[in-house]
Amino acid sequence: MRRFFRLFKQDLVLAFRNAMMPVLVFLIVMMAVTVRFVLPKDWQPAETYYFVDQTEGAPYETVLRQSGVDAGKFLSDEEALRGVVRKDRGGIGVLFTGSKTHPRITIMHSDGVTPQGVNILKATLNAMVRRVTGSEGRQFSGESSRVRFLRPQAEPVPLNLTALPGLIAFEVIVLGFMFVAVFIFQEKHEGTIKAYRVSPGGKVAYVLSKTLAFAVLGSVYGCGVLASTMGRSVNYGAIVPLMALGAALYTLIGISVASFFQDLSEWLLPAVLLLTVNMIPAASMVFPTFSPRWLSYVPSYPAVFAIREVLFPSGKPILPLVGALVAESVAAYALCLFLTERNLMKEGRSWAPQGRFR
Amino acid sequence: MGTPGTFSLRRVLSLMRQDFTAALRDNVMVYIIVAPLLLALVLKLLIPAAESSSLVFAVDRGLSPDVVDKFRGYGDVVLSDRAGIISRVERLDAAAGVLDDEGGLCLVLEGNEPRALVETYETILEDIDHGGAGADYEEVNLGAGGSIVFDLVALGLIMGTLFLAGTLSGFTIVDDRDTKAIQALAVSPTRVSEYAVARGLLATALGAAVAAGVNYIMVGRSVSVLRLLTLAALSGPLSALVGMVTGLFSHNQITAIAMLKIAMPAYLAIPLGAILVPGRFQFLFYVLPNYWQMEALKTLYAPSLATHGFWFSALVTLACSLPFLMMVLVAFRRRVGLRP
Repeated sequence: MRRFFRLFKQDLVLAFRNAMMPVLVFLIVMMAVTVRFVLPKDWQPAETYYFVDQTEGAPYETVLRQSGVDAGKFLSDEEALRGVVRKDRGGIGVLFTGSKTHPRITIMHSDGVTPQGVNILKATLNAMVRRVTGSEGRQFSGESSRVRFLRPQAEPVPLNLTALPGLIAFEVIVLGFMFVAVFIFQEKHEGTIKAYRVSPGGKVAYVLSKTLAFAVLGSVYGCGVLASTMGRSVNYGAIVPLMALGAALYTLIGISVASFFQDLSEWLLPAVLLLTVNMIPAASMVFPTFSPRWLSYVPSYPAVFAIREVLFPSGKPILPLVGALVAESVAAYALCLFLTERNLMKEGRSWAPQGRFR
Repeated sequence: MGTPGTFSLRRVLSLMRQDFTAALRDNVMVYIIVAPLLLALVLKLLIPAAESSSLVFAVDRGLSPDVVDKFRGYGDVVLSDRAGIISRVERLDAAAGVLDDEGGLCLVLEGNEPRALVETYETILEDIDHGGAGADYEEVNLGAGGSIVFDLVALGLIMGTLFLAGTLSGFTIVDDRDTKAIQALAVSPTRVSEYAVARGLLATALGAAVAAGVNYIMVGRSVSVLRLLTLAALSGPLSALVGMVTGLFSHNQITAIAMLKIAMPAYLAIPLGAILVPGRFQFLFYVLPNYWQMEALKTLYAPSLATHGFWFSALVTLACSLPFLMMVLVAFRRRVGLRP
């Protein structure tokens, strides 16, 4: 145990050296300035809908203007509408003709708009037509529709804070993945691993000391980011263990991956590609309806949603997510021990009689 | 070799040849070429899939086929019993449950869905309840289109590619310092300007070629490659700047990686974040060459967001890079002792 703590202390000291601290402090300051002073709390993307109302009295244009649609979105005729939709990639044009009570609505769009997307737009336009005509229409089910929430509706998250779960998941807790590799290559370069293998320390102490060092470093970094952006509104009692667990998971994965390579330049391309794949669950946060099953197999998937739930609680139980994260960590630990023995420790044995130093 | 004291193109070419060989041997160039292209392929597949992802309705299997079919018109439908519906809604995506509750349709949501999505679900349910509004619809597809998210990602990827190409020279400089090769150069006739031009030219050529590849994967021929290559060429001093800064502050590959961790977000995030900053504060970014590089790229990939013309932004990118490059060159010369 004493040996483990000596190793841990050594790894921790190394982790806090090597230009790491100034880099982390700079990143924390940059994130704090961006979140607090640059990004707005609320922001509406530029509207990509354009309208022409040729019905008598232009009642639809009136309703749209009343609901806050920008005056620049109303065009004079169909040709102008076609022109602007062609020019504005992703723009959608809506042309109202016919009468006020029985309008004929032409929807103009570009490739890539799905039939379901068009139907949703039709549902929105139908609501507007009902508002203009004052018609209740035919009740399909005989009763008005209702919406029930399983839990009280969560407060909308200010725009400037929405990126924080992603930042913690894809920047803070993956720190160990990147820097543990740097450690390992340094140790390979200096021959420290060979020396370590013939010392009484085992692979368990080697793996765990690095894992714990980066779990501590990741938590300190994460706390710095959160304290400087969200201040006291964060449940640190829940987020710190979560960040430590996530950082430990990625350090274990980092050791496993790095064990296959000899130096940083060999490792860089596969590592960046792995980190890129790891970030794919961010797509689910940006597009909440995008959640194919394969996405849940990416290791960061439970971490990013658990972090979001802790930072912006909605009442959703996070135990299953934490359970998945623990299961991933246990599996990563087993794999890491196997690969450390097979790929890293064998270098020390290359000159020694087989099995003598096991 | 050229005469000491004058700028020698031959020395520049010789340095470039050395860099090219070293970069190929060290895999760094392979990484800089392959990584953006692979990333472009992944994003090209992923973003349209994410954007066109359908709404998901977990519908009470007791509802009539007519009602179920109506929901199919708006998204994917999963038929289930009450417990199954609740369990489907509880999953991490934003699926909505539809129950037949006391004779009326009832929408079940978790409570953590974005407000706009809740409104969309309500509008759909209301439309199904009312059975339309008596309007006749016609749909006209005007052909090739795009999305602002995709455009911004393509823009960010191109900018990231140009940045990465700049780091290639950074890694070479770090290698020169690590192996003390720079000390040999310091006693040779090589001038700091030749050193910077050699590093910058290789980075610019590589950046332009890879950016053209990324552009082709992401948007095909809908963006002028000629303009993109022109911008890459005018961004040459910016690429050299990235490399020289990396080389100036890093003694070995570890500190270079640490430097990139700072430089990459600063390079990309500042101009991207500027999109969200109100117009009256935009002047705060005017001094940054990467801001103008992004402005020029906006004219190609997201014209609706562009506030200046292509040529203006591209030329200001060049103009803003030069003073920074000069300052870094002076500091670099002092640090490594190359000839002025």
